[in-house]
Parts: sequence; structure tokens; C-alpha cells
Amino acid sequence: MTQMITANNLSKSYGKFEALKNINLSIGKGKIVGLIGPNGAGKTTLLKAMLGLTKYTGDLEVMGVNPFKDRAKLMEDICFIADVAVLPKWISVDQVLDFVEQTHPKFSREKAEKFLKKTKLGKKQKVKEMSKGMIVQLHLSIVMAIEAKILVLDEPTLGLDIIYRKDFYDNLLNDYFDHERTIVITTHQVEEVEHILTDLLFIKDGEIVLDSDMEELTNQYFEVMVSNDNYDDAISFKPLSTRKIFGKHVMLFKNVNRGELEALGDVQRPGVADLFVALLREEEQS
Amino acid sequence: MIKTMKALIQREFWEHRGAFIKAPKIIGIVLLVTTLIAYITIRVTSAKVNGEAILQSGILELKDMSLENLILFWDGMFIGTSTLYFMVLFFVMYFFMLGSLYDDRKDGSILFWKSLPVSDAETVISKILTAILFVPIVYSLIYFVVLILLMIFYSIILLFHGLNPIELVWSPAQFIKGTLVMFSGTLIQAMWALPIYGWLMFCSAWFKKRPFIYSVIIPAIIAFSWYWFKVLTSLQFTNISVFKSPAVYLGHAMFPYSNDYMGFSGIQFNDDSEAQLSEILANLFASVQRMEILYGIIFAGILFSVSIWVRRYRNTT
Repeated sequence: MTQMITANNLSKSYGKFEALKNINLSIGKGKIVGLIGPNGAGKTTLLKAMLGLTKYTGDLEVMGVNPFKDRAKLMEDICFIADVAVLPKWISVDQVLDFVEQTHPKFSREKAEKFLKKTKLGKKQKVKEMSKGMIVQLHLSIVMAIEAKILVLDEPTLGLDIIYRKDFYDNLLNDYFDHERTIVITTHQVEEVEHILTDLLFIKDGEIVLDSDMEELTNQYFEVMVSNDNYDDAISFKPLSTRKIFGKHVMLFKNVNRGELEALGDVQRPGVADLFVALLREEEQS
Repeated sequence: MIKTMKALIQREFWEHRGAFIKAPKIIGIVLLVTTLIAYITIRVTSAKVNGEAILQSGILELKDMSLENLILFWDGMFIGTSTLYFMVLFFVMYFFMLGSLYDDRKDGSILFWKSLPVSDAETVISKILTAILFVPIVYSLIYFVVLILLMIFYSIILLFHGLNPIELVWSPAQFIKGTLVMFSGTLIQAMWALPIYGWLMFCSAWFKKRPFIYSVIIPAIIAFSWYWFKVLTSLQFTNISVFKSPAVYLGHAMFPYSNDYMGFSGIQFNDDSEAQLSEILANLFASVQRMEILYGIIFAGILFSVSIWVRRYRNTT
């Protein structure tokens, strides 16, 4: 499999604060990777390093290129949406399409206009006259009209209401993603992306605490609804976490035989958020 | 490369439409309207006071002028109006350069611009070209149109009074020279202003807050410290040579045709006053040959390069 992004001992410090500590990772072609972590864990710093926006130590290659050295070149093949507020306020829909058309060799204006037709945005409308949701629609229309190899999304749906958020990911998955592309997403709203992810990266205090694909996750981690009768049996398998819902115990297990667990109750794949919390606790205890 | 540059410059005109295109048009409208108001006011008041006798003031005064004075009148008209344009252009450029690498950092849109395959050097160069070439040309073109409108306006009023506009307007007015002063003047102004633009762009890239305050205070502090150092070492309070060279640049950046070293203290003309416009043109072209222009270009080149570097490696949020 082709590696799109590889990092070896990637580190970044701001003064004494180590934002990234010896990160090693590799992201293959056709993946949708969720980069999940608490505030200040280093998510945005890691993305910035990939986009050539920040200096770092260690090795980082994005499509075989050193991103910090060749940012402008790299931007032909990478798109990113950093936050909802980044389109300039004074620009109009027509102007931003004109500008990207002139500067980006892989942009198709036709495609962008097709996406925009589905929205309520007018051609002369300026960004300062748009709601946050509309700005994201515009930005996404541009990004989806670019034949990029990697798409980086940093909290793309922050501050949007639920309808826009759902549309955003639906569009992304249906009209954009085609297994030739790679998407890296950070978000706090894990529940909304977990069904589209192929891989997970958990980051905490500048370190990767979990690097796994969803399939592996399904084979390794199990969430079991345990009734009171089976509680003591279940505890003997050492669950990573336990919480009580409607009189039942929801327990999270790692590397336990699935058959044995099925005797205790319904087995399913854990939610990413629950898994994340459990893993962080485990880290803290050890 | 050229396509990208064109898009980048176009972009500046979109963002600064008001200052780059509307402002020079508005000055033109104001000039025309004040001329009209002056004409009407004089007509009304003079008609009321004592009829025919004072009617001949204002525009109609042209009727009694000698050819020599007519030429002088129109020279004065061109010099006065172009001076207004030079000053406005300089102030517009001052704030454009000050915001050039700062505004998009403030509103976060820098991340959008940096998400496109455009290098930081291209971005910075497009802003410099906008300031020293494209906006001056736009100002000159609009000035050219305003001049024609102003002369047509005078002609209509004169015709209305049965006077000959060819004789009073079109023949004595040195229209070609007047527009040449503007076209060459705005570009020569930009050459003198280069070190100032370089400093402003540097402030724009470097400071995280309030680039305007820094752009003024830092040169002031340096100049006054140097002045006090001179005073303490030579005990000459009146030695203000420290302020002289900044004043030369600033003076020419605002009034590109000034020919004295202090820039501000007035424009000197020969007694042979017929040659006003010609003399201004001569001053303009003489000023380009001065060594200060070369020093200014070197100084600006260094600061522009530092700005590219800062934009590239430090301005990422």
C-alpha cells in the first residue's frame, strides 16, 4: 500500500512545552483517519506540520515531500479546511472561484458550481453576509472541486448546527471520497465521524496512544452489556471500564475471547468516544 | 506564474476597491462639484449685490486674462489637483502596505491563502507591484478622466456665457504635460516611497498587534535618540540633520515634484513663471537621478526580503 504521510520521531516544542513528542505514524492511501485527542493534545500542531505550516524536528514526508520546504508545491495535492472562519470576509462567491481557478491547476470550476447549485448561496454573495454553515458549504464546494490526493480537516464542523454537520459528512463521503484519496480529520464530535473512519489515531500530551484500523479495533475491543447476574463473572475478565446504564453494566474488554464474552451478554463494537475515555484512564493508571 | 500573479493583483483590487478605485473617483466628483458650487454661489451672490459688475468673478474671470495668465491658471489647476491625488495616493498606500501582511493574519484567512499552491514570495511580490505600479496607474487614469471632465465643465459654462472655450480652455491648458506629470509623478513617487513601503510591509509581517503604532514610534525613537546623542556629543541643539534624510523621502513620497532637500518647506519656482508645469516635470525627472533613490531601493529590497521570510516561516496562524 502506498504511504501518503509518514512521520519518524516527529517532535515540536513551543519554548519548554513539548507539543509533539517523537511521533511515529504512517497513513496509507485511501484511508479516512480520525485524529482524536483532548484539547491541547497536539492535534492541530501535528496537522500544521503535515501542511508545512510549522517547523519541527524529526522526519516527516507527505507524498515523498518535506512539507515545510515545499509548501507551495505540496498545496497542489493537499487541501485543508482549518476552521470555519478562514475565508476572507470581503470576498464574494464569484471572486473566490475566480481566484482558485487562476491559482490552482487541479480545480474544476464546473464541479464547484455544481455543488454550489445545491446550496442557497448567490454568486455575488460575500462571505461576511453568510452564516457559518454557508461559509463551510462554500469552502467544501471549493475543496471538493479540487483533484487533491490528501484532504485535511481540522474541526471542520465546529459551531455548525446539526443539519449542516450531517450534510457536510454526507457530501464528503458520497461526492468526494473514492479510495484514491486520503482524508485526515480532527474533531470533538467523534460520534459524527466514527462511522466513516477507516483508521483511528488517539493523541494525548503530544504522544500517539492508539494507532489502529477500525477492523482491528472490532477484533480487539468489545463492549458487552452485562446483567447483574453475570457481573462477578464479567469482572474476572478485567474490563477496561464499566458504566451502568438502565440497570445493566456496560463493560469494555480488550483481547478477550469473543465467545466467552457472548455468554455474558450482547457484544458489540465500542464507540470511539467510550474507547478513547477508557484508554486514557488506563494510561493514567499505569 | 503570470496567471497566478494576475490573480493575486486582482485579489488586492477586490479587497481594496474602495481605496484603489472609489477614492480617486470621489476626489474627482468633489472637484467637479465644488467648481459647480463656486460658480453658482458667485453667480447668485454677485447678481444680488450689484448685478453685472461682479458677475465677472470666478470662472468668467478667464475672459479678461492674458494668454500668459491663462496658461498659468491652467498650470496651477493641474498642479493643485495632481497634488491632491499624490497625497491621497500616498496615504492610501501607507495603510495598504501596513495591512498587507497583517490583515489576513488578524482575521485568520491567511490559512485559506496558504492552502492554495501560491508561494509566499509570489504573495509578497504581488502586493509590492500593486503598490508601486498598478494603483499609481489606476490613479493616473482616473485623474486623466477627471481632468477632461473638468475642462469640459469649464467649456460648457463658458459657452453658456457666449465665450470661446477653445481660446480660454483647450488652447492654453497644457493638458498633455498635466497628465504626464501625473503618470510619471505617481511612479516616481513610488520610487521615493519604496523604503517607507518596505518598512511598513516589514511592520505588517513582523508585529502581532498594532503595526501602525510601531511603524510610527520605532523610527521616531531612533531619530530622537540619534538627535540626543548628537546633542550630547556636540552640544548643538539646532543640528537637525538627523531628520533630514527621512524628510527627503517622506517629502518626495507625498509631493514627488518637490525639489528642495527638506521636502516640506515649499516648492521653488523661477520668476519666469510661465514654465510652471515644465519645471515640475524637470524636477520630477531630476529627482529620479539622485543617489537617495538607489539607497532607498536597497533598503526596501532588504526589508521586502525579510518580509517574505517572516511570512514564509513565522506567519502561520
